[in-house]
Amino acid sequence: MFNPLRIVNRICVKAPLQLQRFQSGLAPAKKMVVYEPLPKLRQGKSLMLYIKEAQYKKFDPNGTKRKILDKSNPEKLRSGDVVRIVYKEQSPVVGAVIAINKSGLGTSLLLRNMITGVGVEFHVPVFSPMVERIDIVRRPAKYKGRTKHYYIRNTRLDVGDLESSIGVKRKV
Amino acid sequence: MLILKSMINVIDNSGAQIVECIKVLGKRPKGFASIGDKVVVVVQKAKPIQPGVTGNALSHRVKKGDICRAVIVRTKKHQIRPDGSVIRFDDNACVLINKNDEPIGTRISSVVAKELKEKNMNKILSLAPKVV
Repeated sequence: MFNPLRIVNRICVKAPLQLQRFQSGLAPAKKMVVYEPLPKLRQGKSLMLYIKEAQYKKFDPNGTKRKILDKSNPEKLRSGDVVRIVYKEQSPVVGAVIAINKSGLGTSLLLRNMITGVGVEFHVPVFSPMVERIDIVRRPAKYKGRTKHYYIRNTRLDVGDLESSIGVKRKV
Repeated sequence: MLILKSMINVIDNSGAQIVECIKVLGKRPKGFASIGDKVVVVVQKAKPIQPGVTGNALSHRVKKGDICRAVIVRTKKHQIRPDGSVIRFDDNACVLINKNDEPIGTRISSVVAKELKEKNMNKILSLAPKVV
């Protein structure tokens, strides 16, 4: 029930008393400890983005592999280029890129080559720690209108013996 | 992925050109042969043996209808390697061997896969012009 007298009593009588008690220390005030806010996890970055960046840093410390796959890079890798994959331990592999399977760290290249008259295809995971670097050996004069060149298999458009053709060029 | 009735190219100089798989060895109950596996084959197409070839040279030759063993050196089915890379060839090919796993022919004409090293087919690897 609304009672004006009670309100007047509270404001005029009780409140000053309480204030006095607080100030005089008769009833010691409760001390509330206020902590500083915790620093934001991962500087506020989303978890997946953070993991991705950490993984890229681990598997591609120079950023060269990312650069070669970067869309905005004018000298990016494209289907039709001839590349040499240099491994850390095993011998290098030469092949024409017929497809780039883009999926972040799982990105792989599909290389095709003719070795002793037999077509050989390699799927190479780009960010594999075994792959040291990817050299672009040769670029075509004109790129084809597709990104996946599966249709060139066993046709007149097929890649030739790339290793020998590159070897001849190196001698000159 | 080679099974009963698969036709396989032969890439050695034993004289056989195309063989048919009649048994995949060591893959029971269900199994298909991949690179490095041994199979029993029948020679379906062979180069004719020239009349001049006699004696020791004849032991390295086979003729149509012969049953012998072979080891698969290339497959069209892609094979995943332990490092995550994948290899695939344009044809299925084999090399004829005897019961002691020694190749019958003395030469190998084209590329073979390096998975043969794990199967101790070192003679074939050393004969091959290229190993990938």
